Amino acid sequence: MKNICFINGSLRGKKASSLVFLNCISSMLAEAEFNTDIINVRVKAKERYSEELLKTISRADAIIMVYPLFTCGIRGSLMRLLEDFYLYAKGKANNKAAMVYIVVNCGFPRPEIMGELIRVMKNFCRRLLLNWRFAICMGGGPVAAMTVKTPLLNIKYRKAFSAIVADIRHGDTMQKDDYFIKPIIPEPIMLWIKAQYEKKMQTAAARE
Amino acid sequence: MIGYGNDIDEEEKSTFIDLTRKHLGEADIVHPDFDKQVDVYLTTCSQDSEAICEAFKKHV
Repeated sequence: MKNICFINGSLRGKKASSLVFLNCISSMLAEAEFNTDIINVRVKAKERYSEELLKTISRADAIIMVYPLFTCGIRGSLMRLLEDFYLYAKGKANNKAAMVYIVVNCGFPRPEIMGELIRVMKNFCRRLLLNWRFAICMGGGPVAAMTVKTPLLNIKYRKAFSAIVADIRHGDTMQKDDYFIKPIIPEPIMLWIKAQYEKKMQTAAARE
Repeated sequence: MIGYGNDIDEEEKSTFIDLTRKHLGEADIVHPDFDKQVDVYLTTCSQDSEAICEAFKKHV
């Protein structure tokens, strides 16, 4: 049985779009085939993540990190976990070359903005001799989270998530392309909604 | 902006520079109105300091 370690890099708890994606992928993994663990990042982690938790990551056959884009990169809370894991795992001879996937969403309509983030993650994998597989980058995070749950509209998302499951199941080694999925709502409308939201926030701030 | 890392390789170096330079304004790394006045460097040792200072002088 293969060990799958999910890392939930969102701090929004049950409201997180990332959690919707994580649950969707997790539901596609047959219990008889895979043993899954879920690790949630912590807010303001003053102490290092526990050795037991880092061990869970290190023994995984596949690591699936699901998180939101933050200032075009990785949120500090997730970065802390990756740094702790790096310090834990570097130099250890018995590390597994786990398959690594990232599932990232952002508020921007165009998911291509995550290009550099992918490079950061590839660098991380190279340092620890982890087996970088591919990324799924989704624009319009909350819209994507709603779409994932909607039959017929969620085909692109389901296809991408299925690709992760199939890749793990078959232990593929051939390099695959990343997935960039735009929200189903056209970009001009997304930008209009964003502008309205920002206007509302500014008005509320001015009243205070 | 100057990054530092004493054990980074060329790809990590270029990732940092590209990430910072490309997304300066959008990422709120600096104020969006000042993103044209910023350049990015990365040093791996103190021997780079002189070259960075020379480059910095061009901005002030």
